[in-house]
Amino acid sequence: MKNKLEELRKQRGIRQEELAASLKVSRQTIGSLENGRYNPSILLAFKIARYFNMSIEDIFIYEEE
Amino acid sequence: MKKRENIKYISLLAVGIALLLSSYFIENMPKRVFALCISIGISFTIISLVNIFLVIYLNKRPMIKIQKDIDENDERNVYIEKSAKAKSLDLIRPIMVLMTFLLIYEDASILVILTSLIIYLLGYIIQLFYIKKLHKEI
Repeated sequence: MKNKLEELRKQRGIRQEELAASLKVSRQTIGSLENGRYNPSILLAFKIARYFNMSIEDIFIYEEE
Repeated sequence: MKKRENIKYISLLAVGIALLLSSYFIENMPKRVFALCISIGISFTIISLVNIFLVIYLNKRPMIKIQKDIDENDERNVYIEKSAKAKSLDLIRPIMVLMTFLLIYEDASILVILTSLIIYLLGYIIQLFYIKKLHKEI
């Protein structure tokens, strides 16, 4: 699953560490999410969406295989 | 939860010290019991002391404690830990079968061979139990 996390974070000038602290996850999780190596749980996806004041669909792009 | 954990480590330390003291003071203790008291006593004492010192260290450094709590509950870390556990169990199973065949080849006693087989089967029984339990819960 692709996402716009890195793009949104950079647009707002937030460091990975800051985003991780706000979401109460590790910095590595943010890195893995941005690289598309890890897909978040629905709870974390909601937390991310709320953090950016957006909907989940605006951040995460579901592509059927 | 944390308080309960502290009580657990203090109790473990008390048991460890009691075992060490009993191995030192009780006379005419059978050799096997003495060895068990010493080994379990040392293990319990070291494990509890390390954890008690860790609790004290983290209480004095709240930022490190917060980060440690985040790392422990981080969903990716939890996922990695669960996957690693599952993969290690998958690897251990064929090794256990191999070990049983090696024991048979080496003419080990029937009790040892049966124990190894029972442990192997127990792994599957526990897995089936948890599959059933988790199907009901989730």
